[in-house]
Parts: sequence; structure tokens; C-alpha cells
Amino acid sequence: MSRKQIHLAAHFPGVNNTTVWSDPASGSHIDFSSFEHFARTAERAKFDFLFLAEGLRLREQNGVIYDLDVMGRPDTFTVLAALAAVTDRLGLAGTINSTFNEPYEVARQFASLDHLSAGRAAWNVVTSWDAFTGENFRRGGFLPKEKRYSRAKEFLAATFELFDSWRGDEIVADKETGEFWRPTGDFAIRTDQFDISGRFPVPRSPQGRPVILQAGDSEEGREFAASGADAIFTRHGTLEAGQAFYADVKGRLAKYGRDPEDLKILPAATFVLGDTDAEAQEKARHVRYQQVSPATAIKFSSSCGTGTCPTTTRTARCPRWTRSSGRTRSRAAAPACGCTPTRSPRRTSGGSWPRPSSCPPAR
Amino acid sequence: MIIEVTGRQNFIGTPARVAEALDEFVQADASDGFVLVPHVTPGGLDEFADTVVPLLQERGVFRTEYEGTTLREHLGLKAAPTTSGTDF
Repeated sequence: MSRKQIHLAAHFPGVNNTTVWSDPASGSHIDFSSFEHFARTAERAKFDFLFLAEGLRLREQNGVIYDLDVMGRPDTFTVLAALAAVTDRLGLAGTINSTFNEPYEVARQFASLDHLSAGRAAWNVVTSWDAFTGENFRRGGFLPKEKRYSRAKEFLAATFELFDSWRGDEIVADKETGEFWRPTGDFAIRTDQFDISGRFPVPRSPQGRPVILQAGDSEEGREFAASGADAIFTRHGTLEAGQAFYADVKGRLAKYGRDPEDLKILPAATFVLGDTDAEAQEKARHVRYQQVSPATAIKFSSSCGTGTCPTTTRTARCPRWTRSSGRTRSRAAAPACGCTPTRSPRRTSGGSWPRPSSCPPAR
Repeated sequence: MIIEVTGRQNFIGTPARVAEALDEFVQADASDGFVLVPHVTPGGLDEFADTVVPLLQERGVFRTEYEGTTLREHLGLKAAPTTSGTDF
């Protein structure tokens, strides 16, 4: 029996605390040359796709812009469009929010990216319901949390209707008869969240629709992925956790008339390489300290009680802290556990902090 | 404690050990692949591309050339239907 083929994607390092900006080898996360280098490397290695995350609001803590990690990033569609011009085969995946955007606009953008890249576009559909992020948008915190996936489903279905409003054979361009196209693109969508109608202006793209990615790990997120996504991102690091997740999600596909291979399961993975295993372990230790400096560790902990968790990773000290989605954070959802570190992680200051009784026991 | 909890390091070792671990993870049906998250911009993928990928290719579990042109083809997905009707 032939071995299962591995699919590989490359997450552009940027706004998260995995990225070590203080490393001597670190370059700009904004300059196009960085995106180009990363994309060309991924394509040289025959990766399936490059992946861009998204942040719709700069991270803050106590109303102050968070200043320890990489901050600031350019717009997803613009970067992917530019990368389409310097790559030939590499898939181009962007994270686009279904809560604050509109289906017509997003469908136009993805159909356009799919044309420009000759069939390499992918959309990581994320949701966000919090007013903190929503303040940047026209309607602010308009969406109750329990509706974020129902809106996402309606959003995705609406874009599918828009993509499919063109079948692909409408442009005739017959110079003899003078007929250019057979009018098409009609749509009328009336749902709980949307009431739109008109004609979709972008002809059918090479893939028809972008590849749909989904990153939610909740019950609703898994079901959402099983119903219509082409790949799901996970954070299950261990073999056993990965197998359990894999079996659970693949097992949900049949009821949607889908086969197990119709949904790819792709966990996030970091790696540290060395000439020997011992050297790799030592490098990994160094990377870990660079990622989580004493100052960052204090921010991790103090944010637990104040609401705006500044990082993408949950800490064990914040058991009730919840992520809204993607990179967005909710002040309202954060716990008031008042956790503070009992000791500086590297003991550089050697100080002790008082530990509130509400804190879970220190390990 | 915080450093240990928050720092994720899934695959650490020589290229040969990492290639083997990635392969075993997929063959054991714990995933269909990975989204690799390097630590450094923009060269954080270079070493993996130069050392681990050739070993995966030698093991016969990763392509040596793109076979298709679209991402859907890379991922081994069926063509998208031309009519809506997905029941979300």
C-alpha cells in the first residue's frame, strides 16, 4: 500500500509571539521582499500553499498598544495579489473575516485573486463577534456571539451563490456576430443576515471558488468545517490528540454527502532543526526564551486579569480566558481572575508578586 | 512555567528525525499534513526546504514536482461544483 501523501503549507511569520523579531536573522515583516522570499522558498520546496493570518485591530493592553511582539501588517488581498505575480504554482491563502465584511465584496476579491493567480486562491473563513474589533467597522459589535457561525454559514453560502452565478461559458467574444457575452450573474439572496440582489461582475474563475479553509476547533467550528470546508487548521500537537480530532472531524463528513478525503486536516507545527538532536533541543530552548521574554511573560499573566490578552497563545494561568476568533480578542470575554506571576520566569529580577487566591495553583 | 506552557515546539531534531516524525504523524492518521510556522521572517523556512523536504521526497510522501496547476489539484480535492446547493 502506498504511503499517504503529506500536504504542507507555510504560515508567513509575523504578528504573533511565535515569531522571534529579536533574532539577528530577522528581517522586515512588511517589505514585499520578505513576502517574496518566503513565497519563493515555499514554492521551491513544492508546498501546497502559503498562508497569511489577519489582524483587524492592533493588540492592546489596558488601552495601551502592545509593544513587545511584532506589530502591524499590510492588507491580505493586496499582498496575495502581489505574490501571485512572482509565483506560478504555490497556493495563496488569506484569512478574511465573515463578521465585518460583506459577501459581495469578498466574493469579488477572491474571484479576482483566483483569476490573477490562475486558480490558486484559498480563503480562511474566520468569525469574530466582539465589539473591540468591531469598533473599526461600520456596525461595531453588532453580532451576538451565538450568531457568529450562523452568519458565517450564510456568508459562505452567499459567496458560493455569487461565484456560481457564472458557469464559465458566458463570454463568447464572437467577432463575427459581435456578441461578447450572454448576460448572466443574477443573484438574489435573502437570509437572516443578508438582503442583497443584483449581478455579480466577475466571470467564473479557474477554481470556480477559492479553496475554503476553517480554523475553528469548537463543536460549531468542526461542524462548519465538515459541512463545507476543504481544509481545517488545528492546534492539536500530540499524536493522540491529533488522531482523536482527525477521527472526529472526518466522521462528520458523511452526513453532508462528503468523503473523508474531501476535507484535509492540517495542524499548525513549529520546528527547530539541528545537526544533532541535542543541538536542536538547545536551539529550541533558545527560541523559547526569545519568544517569551520575561517582559512578555509578565504581559501574558497580567493580561489575564485585565482583559486584552496580548498573545495568540493561552496560558495555563488563564483557564477561563476565551478567544473570540482568529487574532481578535474580546475585552468583555476575559476573566477577572487577577492572575499575576509568582516569580519572574527567568528570575532576572528575582522579585515575587502576590498571588491572588483566585489563581489556579502554580505548577 | 509560563515560558514552558506558551512556547510551542512540535518537531525538534535533526532533519532526518523531523522528516520521520512528520511522516509518522500523517501515516498514523493524526493529520493530512501541516501548516508550518517558522520563527523568523523571512528566512525561517529556508533550512526546512533545503533539508527536510528532500528527505520527505525520498520517503515517497511528498511531491517532487507540482502535478497540477490549481491549489485544488495540489490538495487532491474534487473540482468545485458549478451550481450552488451546499447545505450549510
